[in-house]
Amino acid sequence: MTRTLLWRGLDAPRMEIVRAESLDRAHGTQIGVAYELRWRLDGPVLDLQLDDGPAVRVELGDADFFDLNHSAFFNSLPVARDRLLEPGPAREYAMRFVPVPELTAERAWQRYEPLGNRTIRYRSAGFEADISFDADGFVTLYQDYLERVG
Amino acid sequence: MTQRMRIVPMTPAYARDIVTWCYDPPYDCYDMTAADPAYLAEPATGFFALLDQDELIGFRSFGPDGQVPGGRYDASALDTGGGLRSDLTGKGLGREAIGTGLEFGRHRFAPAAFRVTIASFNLRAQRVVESLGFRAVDSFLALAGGQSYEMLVRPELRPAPPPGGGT
Repeated sequence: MTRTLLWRGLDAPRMEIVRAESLDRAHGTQIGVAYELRWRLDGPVLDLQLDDGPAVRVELGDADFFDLNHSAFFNSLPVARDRLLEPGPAREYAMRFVPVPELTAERAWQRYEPLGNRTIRYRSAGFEADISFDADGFVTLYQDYLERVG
Repeated sequence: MTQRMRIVPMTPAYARDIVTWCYDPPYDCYDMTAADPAYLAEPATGFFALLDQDELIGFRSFGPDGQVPGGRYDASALDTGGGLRSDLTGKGLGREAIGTGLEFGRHRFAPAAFRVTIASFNLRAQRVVESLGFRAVDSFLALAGGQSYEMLVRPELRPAPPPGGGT
């Protein structure tokens, strides 16, 4: 069953709608003041297209997961695979990070620390924030950044 | 992999701490005592806390709060500002603090350029931002008080998306 999820930005005008068949197959549309981005995740391939740009395909390669800038959906991937909503140690990942609107693929270190109460302390180079999830592992609140509204 | 300084969301507790910060003259124009902590902690105002390990050492801002009335501002750049805790100024932390904020702001807001506005007497801060790639584009007198300010801009060079086949 396809799940539809909707987030809005808390710090800047932006929104994203995601239709997820699973955590491996999903597509979404992200809208900011100056861009509109469509993406489709199909296993180890992430296809992206800005409304005024070329299609870009990013391969996962040897990274653990994709992470698309401003997309809360991708925070679910390590949380689901490694059951991070259950008590346990912090985990570190090598992510294939895709900045928006550049759509380049960068290898990025990230750390997910379970805090309990379905909350993760997320940390990347130079940044840290707490992320809350629902019982299905989807983000409900990314501290001061994104909030799920549907 | 660790980085000493990091940006974190502004909490009410951090904001209440920041509004107690006072600086020795002539830097007392940067005192935060007139700021409303509720305003600083509101996500849409663009304020973030800067930590070293788990200690609050400063803040960074992104957006109109970095503008000084009297300057000629346009939408071509994202204004950024901030400050270090008053007991930490003059210790060589400014470049890493500002650099950490710029790296965060580049990913979060993807601006075409960053812009800073610095009091003309504050040569120390001007040297720091120039070392990070900012160049002076204008100077002006503030509407309130007539203080002279310098405006500096750093264009962000975005790599073009790869054609078709991706990365």
